[in-house]
Amino acid sequence: MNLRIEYREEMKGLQKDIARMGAIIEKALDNVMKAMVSQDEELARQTITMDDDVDAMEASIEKRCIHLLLRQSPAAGELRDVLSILKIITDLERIGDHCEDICEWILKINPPMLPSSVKQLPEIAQKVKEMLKATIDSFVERDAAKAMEVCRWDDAVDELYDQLILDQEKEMREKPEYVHNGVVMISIAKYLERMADHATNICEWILYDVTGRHEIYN
Amino acid sequence: MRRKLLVSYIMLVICLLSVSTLAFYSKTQELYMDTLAADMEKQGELLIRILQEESPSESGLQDLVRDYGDLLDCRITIIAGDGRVMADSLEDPQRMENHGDREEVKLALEGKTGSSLRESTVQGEQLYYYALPFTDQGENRALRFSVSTSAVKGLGLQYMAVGIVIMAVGVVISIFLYIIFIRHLTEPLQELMQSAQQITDGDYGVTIRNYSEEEYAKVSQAFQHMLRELNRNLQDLRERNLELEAVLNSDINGILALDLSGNVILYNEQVKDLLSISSESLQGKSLYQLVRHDDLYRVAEHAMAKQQFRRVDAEFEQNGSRRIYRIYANPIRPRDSKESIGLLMVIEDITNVIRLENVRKDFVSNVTHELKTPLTSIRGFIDTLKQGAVEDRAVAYRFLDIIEMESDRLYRLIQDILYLSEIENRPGEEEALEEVSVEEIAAQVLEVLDSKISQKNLDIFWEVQQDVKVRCEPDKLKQLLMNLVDNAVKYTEEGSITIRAWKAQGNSMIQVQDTGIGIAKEHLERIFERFYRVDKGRSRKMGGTGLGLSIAKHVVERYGGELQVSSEVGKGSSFTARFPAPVDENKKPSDSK
Repeated sequence: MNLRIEYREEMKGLQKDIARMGAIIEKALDNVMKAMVSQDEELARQTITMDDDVDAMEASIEKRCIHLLLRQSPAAGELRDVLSILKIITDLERIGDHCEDICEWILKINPPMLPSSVKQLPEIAQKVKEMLKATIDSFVERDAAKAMEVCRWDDAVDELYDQLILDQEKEMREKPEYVHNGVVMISIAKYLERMADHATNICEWILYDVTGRHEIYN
Repeated sequence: MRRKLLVSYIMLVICLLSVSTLAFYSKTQELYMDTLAADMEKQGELLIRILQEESPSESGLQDLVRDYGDLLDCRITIIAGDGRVMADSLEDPQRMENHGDREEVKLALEGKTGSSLRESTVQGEQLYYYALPFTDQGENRALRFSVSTSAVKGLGLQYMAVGIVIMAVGVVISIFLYIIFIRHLTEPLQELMQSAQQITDGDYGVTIRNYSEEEYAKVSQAFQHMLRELNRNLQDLRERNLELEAVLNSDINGILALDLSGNVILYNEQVKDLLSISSESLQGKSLYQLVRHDDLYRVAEHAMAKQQFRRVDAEFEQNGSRRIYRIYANPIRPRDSKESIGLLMVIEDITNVIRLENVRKDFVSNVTHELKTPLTSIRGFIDTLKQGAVEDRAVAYRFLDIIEMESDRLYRLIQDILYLSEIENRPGEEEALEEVSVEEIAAQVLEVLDSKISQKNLDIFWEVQQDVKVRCEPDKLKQLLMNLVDNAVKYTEEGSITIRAWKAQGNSMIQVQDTGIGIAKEHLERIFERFYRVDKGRSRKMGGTGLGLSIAKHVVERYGGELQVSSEVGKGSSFTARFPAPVDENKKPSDSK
């Protein structure tokens, strides 16, 4: 019987908070996609403020992890739990930052992007969103197989990203007036690609937590 | 239990046997001594008679005593009144001490019978002494027998041996009996125990034997009764569960009950749909595991923390479409208890409610706006007339024409609104349905609109098949065609209008096609909304109320059909109404009312 009631309660609370942080970021990413397609500046501004929530949550979880380390002196599996949470929230927070960054770009777009050229971005964003959802799922369910799977999805995102760069480069060469738009597209795509990398990192830490081995997959 | 029973059983046998052996032994010893005393008394009396008859001398006495002592196999002593030993069968009387102080001798010399059990000073072993008084030659004398008690002791040992053998036999028999008995006793118990175990494991189909012993019969009856009750209760519970499940699942709202740590204890199928949860069973899973939605978490946590009812409207995504859910979270409190045992969440899809509310709000503000515009214009012209324009006949007439036109418009608008609310509020009943010929009605409509059409110089193509019929109220169909053709005429400056009617796969189709200005794609899905205008100024100028297409759509839907539009800007539009064809009453009389 596990007697570490206080530790377990505290850990449960932390896991809940990570699920909540994931929920907020998923919502933010959702908003980013919507704002991108519909050029909704209001939604973009609203999404930027959501990042403050994410930052606040990261700080609070971090503080509680440190308290847990000091008060409960966890060892072995418990120590891995705390350490992986500390690493995971950093990556989650970075994803939140990227959502904010994309929204700032959306506000800067002038003139608005043509709907046809925007099409590739939602495709990448959709993939990233699926990755993020699966990542949080595998954390909550401690599902190593799923985390491993998510690591593999990163390649698909990279492929889409490379294709987008090629297409944009071609378009910019042909139409000089498109350059501004192209730069914005590439910047946004870069952020999305980075989000996928962070999701992969999170999955690596989940694998570390569950299996005890930390391996780099991307 | 079996061992305890066996040990106590054996102890009982041993105790009983040893007590009875001891009792028997002591009784036998007593009996033996009594017999011995009686024998000696008789022998003594016999000997005394012989002595009194023969009355021998002292030496003759000695011989006599010796003879009889050998004969009777005991020691015989004769003691004089003063205690002096006169003769003895084993010893020389001269050398023997005075026996006057011996207990039994004392008694005998006093004329009583005496007996004593003690160690002999002569022989050094335990002896039984028996003394009888007699008188010889006028002198009190005592005759004493002494017998060794070793025979009694031997008897005791023998008894002991027999006792032990009996005891051993008794123990063996008792063990044997015990085994039979215990088997008989415990077998039913073990069977019952097995049945109980089976019941515990969930096998309620166990049969329990009837036993002939009264106690077991009672226990087994009690068991059978218990099993029946259990079965019945279980059945009841199952039924209640099914009922509960059915009730839960027949609610269109999602229901989710959580325990204090946020794990699901009860849910219905709708929840899975509403929250897009793919896993088969939600039982015991955490809310945080199932859904990822901050608003949902928040309302659950608030309600739990404050122990109060909470409600929130939140946006969700379901199968790729955006929905608005109203989430109610209420702590579950058992009756008479302040402590809650969990949280009940009810999730209601209010997307349509909100949409309808918006439609209603729009309608009210549109109606007031539409009513105000002609009224404002009428009031303005009346004002101008009052202020002197009435004097100028030509101007006054022009103004009156405008006022007439505007009030006509107002009338038409109110007519349309009334009409719309009529077909909206009373769907399909209490009206005289008849099979209406599309050809007839279309001809009537063209007749009414003839003057408008001829003003514009438009070609009318007539492709109406003769036997196309729609089961409806003639006025409604007329209104539908009127609206569609009127629109076509309004928005077509040159070219043609084609009116078609044909039968297709059990449907009656009516189509009005024009070569007018067309409708842009982004407006297409909204043109059937009330007061929706593609080009506001133009529509008003044409005298439209903004309700025509809305009415047309409602009419078609009222008779189970649908109205579709296809259009291209600059090339024209085409409205197609599909009605289910009326059932031919001659062909299928059974289907008629």
